[in-house]
Amino acid sequence: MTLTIRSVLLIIAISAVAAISSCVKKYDPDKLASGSWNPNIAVPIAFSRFDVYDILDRADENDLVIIDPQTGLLALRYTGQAFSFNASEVLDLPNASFNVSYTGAADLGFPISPAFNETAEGETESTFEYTTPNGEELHQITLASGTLTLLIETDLLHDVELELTFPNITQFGVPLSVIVPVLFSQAGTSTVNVNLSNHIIDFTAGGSGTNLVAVEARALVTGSGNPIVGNESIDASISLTNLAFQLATGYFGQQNVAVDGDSILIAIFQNVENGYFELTDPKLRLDVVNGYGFPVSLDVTELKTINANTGVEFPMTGFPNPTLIAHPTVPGDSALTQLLFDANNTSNISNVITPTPKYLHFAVEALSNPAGQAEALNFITAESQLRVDATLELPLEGFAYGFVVRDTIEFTFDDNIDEEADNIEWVKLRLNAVNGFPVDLEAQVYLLDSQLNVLDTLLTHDQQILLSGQVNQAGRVSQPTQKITDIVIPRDRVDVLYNTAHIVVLAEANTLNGQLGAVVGLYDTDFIEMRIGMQVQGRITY
Amino acid sequence: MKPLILILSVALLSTISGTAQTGYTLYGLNGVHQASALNPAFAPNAKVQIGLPGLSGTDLRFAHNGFAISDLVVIRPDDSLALDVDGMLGKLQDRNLISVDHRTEVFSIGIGGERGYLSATISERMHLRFGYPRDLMVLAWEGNGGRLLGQRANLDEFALDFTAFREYALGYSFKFNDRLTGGMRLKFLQGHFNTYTRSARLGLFTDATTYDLSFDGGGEVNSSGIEELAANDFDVSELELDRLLFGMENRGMGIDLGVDWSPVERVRLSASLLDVGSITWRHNVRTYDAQDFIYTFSGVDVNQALVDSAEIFQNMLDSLETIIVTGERSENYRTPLNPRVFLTAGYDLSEKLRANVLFHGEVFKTSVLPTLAVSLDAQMGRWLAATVNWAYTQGSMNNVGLGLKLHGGPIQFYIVTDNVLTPFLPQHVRSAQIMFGLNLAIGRRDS
Repeated sequence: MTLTIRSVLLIIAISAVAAISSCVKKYDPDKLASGSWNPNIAVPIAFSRFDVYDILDRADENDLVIIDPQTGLLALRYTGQAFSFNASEVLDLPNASFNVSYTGAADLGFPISPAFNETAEGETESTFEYTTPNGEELHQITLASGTLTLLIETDLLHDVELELTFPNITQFGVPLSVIVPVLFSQAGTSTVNVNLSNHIIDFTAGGSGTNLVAVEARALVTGSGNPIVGNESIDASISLTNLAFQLATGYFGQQNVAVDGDSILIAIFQNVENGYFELTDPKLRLDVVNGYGFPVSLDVTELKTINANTGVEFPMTGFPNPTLIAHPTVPGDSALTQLLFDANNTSNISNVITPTPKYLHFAVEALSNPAGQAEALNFITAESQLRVDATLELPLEGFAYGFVVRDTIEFTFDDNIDEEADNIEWVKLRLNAVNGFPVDLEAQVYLLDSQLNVLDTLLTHDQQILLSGQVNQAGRVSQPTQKITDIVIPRDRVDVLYNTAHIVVLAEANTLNGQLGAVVGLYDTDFIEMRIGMQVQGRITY
Repeated sequence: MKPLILILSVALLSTISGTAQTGYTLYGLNGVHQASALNPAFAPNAKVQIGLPGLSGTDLRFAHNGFAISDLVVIRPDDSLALDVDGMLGKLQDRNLISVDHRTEVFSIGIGGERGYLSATISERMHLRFGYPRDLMVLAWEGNGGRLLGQRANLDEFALDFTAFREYALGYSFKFNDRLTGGMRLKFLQGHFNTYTRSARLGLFTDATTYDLSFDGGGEVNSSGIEELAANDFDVSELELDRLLFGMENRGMGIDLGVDWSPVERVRLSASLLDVGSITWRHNVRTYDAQDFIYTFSGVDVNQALVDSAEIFQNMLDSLETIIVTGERSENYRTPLNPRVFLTAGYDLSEKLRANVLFHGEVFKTSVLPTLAVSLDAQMGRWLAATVNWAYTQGSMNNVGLGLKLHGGPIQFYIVTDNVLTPFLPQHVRSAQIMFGLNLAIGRRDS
């Protein structure tokens, strides 16, 4: 028995060793056949959560996205550059010059004498008219600056002292008076300049006239022993130059006080090629701030959108025009008039951005005293302005379809990647989008060579990248929708990347059921969550 | 019935992750002093046994339970070789272990009486355990986009434990009667170097939809003397000899217990529990830890990139520093020994031939690393004893152990290996082990 067990165990042991040994062959490293290492790497590339503010704000950061505090509905607000007209453009005070000659005997009563050694004095007065370029009737001007120049000449052979008083040119209630000595020894000529800053000119000459300047003259002659024959004169040249007013009153008549226009760039459509976009309630508001103290009517002469690509204009009509705007009653004040163009007064404004305009253009003219002379005097100050600010508000409620966006990106395949790409069997890009907007997006990515020839498309066919979120009856997204798009690029298509110089992204967006005219809105709660991942199947041979 | 039980046992044990410290063949070479290190109840037959310094015993073991070379390199019909990494991955377990053990008996002496045997042994021991997870290899070979997509790559099982210490053992075996012998060894331990992975958690989860990568982890690693060793380019000779020989900062205690029982005629049962104890490390200690963290990388944040692309990666690093909090401190720590257990059942086929079934288990962390063997022990005259076994260990059945003891006069020579196939079939085995030495064995207790 013992021998049997021992024998069996021995046989088992020998058999085991023999069996294993029989399976063994030489392991010569030189016999190692080639093979491949095929790792599959999955990595996230990028992620982002864009809310509507992010998207619209980045479309044009200079414009403002506003939110209706009650509903959360979003609106784009585009503001036009304010333009204004200054007072000097409305009332210009030209230089003026008046000449007067006083005859010694006739006007001033100087005695005739072969050898005059006495003194004699005489007075006289005169009135001149200050002429305005457009027939403005000036009543009173408070001057900010200006110069009165007096040039006095006489052929009297004696010393003369001429005092000129302007009773309607005052400063602090005191009439302006200037004494000009004209010495015989200085050839009978003298010049005096007077600074008129802060002087008030009453052009009514103390009554009901306009544009009148009165002057009173008093002359004193001191005899030098020479004769006075009687026909000698004293000549005065009176000049008003460089007049600038602080305040002017009067009647400025009917004139175009302002003509200008502006174009607002609607930047969100910068890359848009085509499409239909209709909003339910766009608004254009013109804020007219009038600092002129007279009635003005504002005439909107142009209101249109312009497709910058095609130049096609789309005029808007039907709005009330012209409009009498408010004016202040107290100098220094201003009056605001808001002109609103919306669906109620402009029949086609809901198509304001159709077809995909780039600019909103408008132009206005302003006419002073449109009804003729008003009962109250016109006034204008140096700071008076007529300013027009334009605001285009686009509440994002409506529908759109066929909204085609194109963007071109320069592309160069890195040399290092070239080498590594040889070890790539395929690449899969995964777009994982959770869409909280009521918008479907279909896209295609074209690979172009340097001659802009299409080499390939990244997607095998145009694919939905984003599926609209589910909306409620109000057109507001109630449930985001997830869409996963896998873009598989096999090895042979990876080679195309070597020759790619440009990548063109072409996308077409449609609001949910936009072609059926279904109205949706963009709200502050809308968002897109986008994640991009990449899976690479490698094949590295050894 | 017995073969069925054996098969079931092997099948059951094969489901337990891990490997086992080798050395089980020596267990069957009773009569060699060094076998008492595996069961303190074992005692040589000599009245006096002396292990000479440098000669009495050197034990070197290497094991890898992950795969054998033949699992990775296959021979094709045309005789060429091919890498079969997928096949290799199929062999891997969740946690795989590379083990290196070394034991040199510096000096030993044993004195036997009629019923008792008293021994004293000084040994230098070194144990290295490097554990690595299967998912690490899967990740490296397949990437994270294959079977790991949507799964957590479990890299928790990383572990590097290294311990070098001196063992002063005092053992006593006592024969209670003809059927029962018990033994115990008390061990004072003098630690030299240690690194210990107290905990290690690391995982990578790849989201199947977004490919987001989520890293989780944390852990703690202790070391003693390693920093000092590294400062000397790992040249032990540069260290202070006094510390290595007599430094007692790192102290520990251990105990081995054993019993040898013959309940009925021809049947012998034995059991031992070894290396129950610990070492407290105090010299040049460092503890490195990382608090539990989870970090998810979802790609570049486009919103941030639009604002400031230059700061993206710096911000990522900043957030990583915030999430992954690491620390380093100096504090004493304690490491357990790796307890081992032997269970054998033997049947005397004849007076000089015994058949055994052996179970050996080593506790490593939270796993039991098993070995199951059948063996045949033979005493061939007074001068020669041999043992041969066939074992399932390291997840492999390709293990044939052999041990020989030659006795001539007072000189006793022994040589033992757990796997005699290693030099002949290196591509198929997962372990290598050899132990040999010379003892002086003077007198016979049973004469």
